[in-house]
Amino acid sequence: MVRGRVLAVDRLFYALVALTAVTFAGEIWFVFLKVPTEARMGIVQKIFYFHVPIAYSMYLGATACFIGSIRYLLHPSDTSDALARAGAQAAVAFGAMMLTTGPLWGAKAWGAFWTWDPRLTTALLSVLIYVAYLVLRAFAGDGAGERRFSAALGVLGAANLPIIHFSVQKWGGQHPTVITGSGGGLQHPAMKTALGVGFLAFTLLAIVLIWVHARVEMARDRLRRAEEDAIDLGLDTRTEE
Amino acid sequence: MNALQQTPNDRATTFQPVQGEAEHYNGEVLLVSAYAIVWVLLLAWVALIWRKQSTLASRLDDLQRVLDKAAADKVTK
Repeated sequence: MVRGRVLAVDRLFYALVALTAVTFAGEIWFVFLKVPTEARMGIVQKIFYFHVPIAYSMYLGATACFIGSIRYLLHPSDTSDALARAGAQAAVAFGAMMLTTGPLWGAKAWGAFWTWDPRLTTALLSVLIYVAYLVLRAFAGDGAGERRFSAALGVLGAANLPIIHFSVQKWGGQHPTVITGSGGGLQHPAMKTALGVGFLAFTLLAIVLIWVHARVEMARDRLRRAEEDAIDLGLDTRTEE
Repeated sequence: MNALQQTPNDRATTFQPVQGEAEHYNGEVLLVSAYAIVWVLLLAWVALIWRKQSTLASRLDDLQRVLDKAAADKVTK
């Protein structure tokens, strides 16, 4: 029964990987060969079709970290901790992509790689929070206290996400607001399709990578417990050759 | 005008397709750089997961060796 469930989960994972690959191939083909070039910025505007989904994927990673952290604070478990850790890793990875692709677009659109625009600044702050989370996990040990402290940081880190989202509406700055609740400013159907497929591709990619990372983290926790059991039985796994 | 002097109304709110003009490719280096960076970072992330998994495999081998040795010692006793 358990073996059957494992096989079903494996099949689901491989199907997800295949779907992600197909979606990415379709997105790249569509963005470069079908979507018209933007009138004012030219071809560099095509960065938009993955910059925005990447930023959204950073939110997904941060949300996974938040959910794992909340669950860990309420009911401590290796699974919740692994989800929080994998989510933080995703937030940093996608955040790094967001903070490099955005300035490359800005170099053309604004004439500067970086401005201390409210959205850019709050996004940078958010990525730094998750970098701090990972540094904490890497260097502070793996005891229950450290895990609880990290979970609290994971919850606090999520508090910045709405600030990033609403910063363009509440404060001054240069960051565009092309995607709006009233339909958005993409003036061609192919532009909207490219953005939609981009969201799908990066959502699938985020799910795949968070899943893989969380499984590795869970395996690490199980191995650590097995090593501790071995040591309790008088078998020192660190010194044997 | 710097970023802080602008109001929310000063933002770009639309992206429009080019009409009847030759395409502009001035930003192609920036575009290719952006794509390249995304793939490099993704591969770096996959490499990090691979390294973590390799470390786990190595620790698992150590544990297996210790357990095998303990079992062998028990038999000889």
